Amino acid sequence: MLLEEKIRTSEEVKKLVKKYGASQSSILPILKAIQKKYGYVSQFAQNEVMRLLNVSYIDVNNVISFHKILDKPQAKYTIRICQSSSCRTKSKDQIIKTIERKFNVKIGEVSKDNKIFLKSTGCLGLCHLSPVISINERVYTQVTPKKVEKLLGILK
Amino acid sequence: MESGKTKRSGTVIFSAYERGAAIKKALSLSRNDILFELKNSGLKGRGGAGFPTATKWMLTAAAVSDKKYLICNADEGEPGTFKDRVLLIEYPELVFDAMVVGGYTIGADEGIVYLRGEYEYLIDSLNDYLEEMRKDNLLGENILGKNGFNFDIKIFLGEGAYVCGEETALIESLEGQRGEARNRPPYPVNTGYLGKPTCVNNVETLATISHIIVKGSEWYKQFGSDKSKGTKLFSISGDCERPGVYELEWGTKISEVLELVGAKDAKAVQVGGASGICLNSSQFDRTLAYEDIPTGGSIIIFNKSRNMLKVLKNFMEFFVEESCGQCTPCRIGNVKLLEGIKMIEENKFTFKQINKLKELAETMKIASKCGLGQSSPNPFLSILENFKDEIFNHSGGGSYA
Repeated sequence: MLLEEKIRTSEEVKKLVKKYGASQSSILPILKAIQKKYGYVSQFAQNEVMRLLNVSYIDVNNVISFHKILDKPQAKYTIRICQSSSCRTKSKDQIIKTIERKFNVKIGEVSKDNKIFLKSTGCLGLCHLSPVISINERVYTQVTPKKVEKLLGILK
Repeated sequence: MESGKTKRSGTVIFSAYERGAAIKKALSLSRNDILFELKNSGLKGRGGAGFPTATKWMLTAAAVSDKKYLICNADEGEPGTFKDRVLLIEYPELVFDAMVVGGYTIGADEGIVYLRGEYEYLIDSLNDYLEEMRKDNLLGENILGKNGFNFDIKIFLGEGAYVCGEETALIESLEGQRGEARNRPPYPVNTGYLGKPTCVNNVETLATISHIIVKGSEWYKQFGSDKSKGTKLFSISGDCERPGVYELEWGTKISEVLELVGAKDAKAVQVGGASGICLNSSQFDRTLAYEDIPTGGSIIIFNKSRNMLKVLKNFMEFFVEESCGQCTPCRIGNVKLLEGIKMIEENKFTFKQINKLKELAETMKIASKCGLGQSSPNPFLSILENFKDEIFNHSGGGSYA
């Protein structure tokens, strides 16, 4: 990591600590904010969180491993597919197949060009509009294989 | 997103309500009066466990401490449940007003909404709403001119862990620990968030409290059945024509629900989400109430084309994924139950093995530490019992895709 990047990350973490307060309770919100901005939480950022919050490695690592915070660089787009019962009743498997075919990626994997990360997710709370998928932060409801094709066409 | 705001109608929660009304009314009452109203209404927690809300508030109010917390549990992770999301988007005034009332009653000055990570898309509108409340002095210092009553609400975003819906796991997660359930006692009402007395209430419970405070417990008690007072929100999804959130009185029959949502060829109804029980058509005359089928409000309907074994497999895969791994019955039990389902799927099982697994399921119910492990065997036991013929004589038919 370049020095410049380190300084930037450090400033960012400082700002977040100020925003959320310097206590152990702030670990999760801070890590989430870093993840949102950079796509993942680097080892350096983790160290900064430990230093500024005055918590131990194990405290930060506990939260990262339990909440599945990402500590490695990720694909550009994360496609989440709701895996709960209501969505499954509505032709969800065809949608997965469509995406898998289009990007040559299996569920739970990152595509070779690092563009797409396809994963399943817990219920998104839109069961009456199932099936539901989300691409990065946006949620799409009542998707069909055709609609998915169209959505995926826009992803660059 | 949803196209337009649908007009909802209901007797209690979806009835007319003016923003801030509950706070105004509550501040004119004494704390004991509010507790009495709640006690008289017989309101029970709407998250699924059904603990009397008045008792929880009384215990927190009675605890002696310089600092207390009120937490709104918006970690709605049960598959097939989306009522809390509807309440938070469309009726935030009900939820937040009740939190202020709660703060006044139990003597807390800080409220925290634990919002599940998947609902991140709600957070901006909720923060805007809280900002509006602060402007109108419904939050902040000396609320509505009541000297010495300060209360503020902040929103904490979780990160997609089902087990954090359990109140002690939620508190652990709030403190920046792994979201694993605590040993009880001590209960959160005495030793909760940061070791202070903490009251954790479900979103829907709070929304109901706002109405009870304004309209009184006698009004509330006229709805519902003998032992279960009031109404309940149900999130209905699956194979039906009109899925969505419905407000129904306790004591409604399953068959009436099916008629309401237009489910014509229903074969099975899963009540209470993944951790609930599955009913077959001979049980559709049972009622939704604490004395018959208590539920957190999720109803998933399966029609005749569904393969119940695949349905069950989906539920158990979910629990294997979401078990936090802290206690043995839940961590290993769920995996074993899933293995059993795979054995049935491949037709390589003996009934002795199945009976052993049923015993294991009963053990899990008793020995697990938190609600997850105690309720995860429910679908396994109920589907194997209610759909015996289909599962043990299956020929691989039926779709679940």
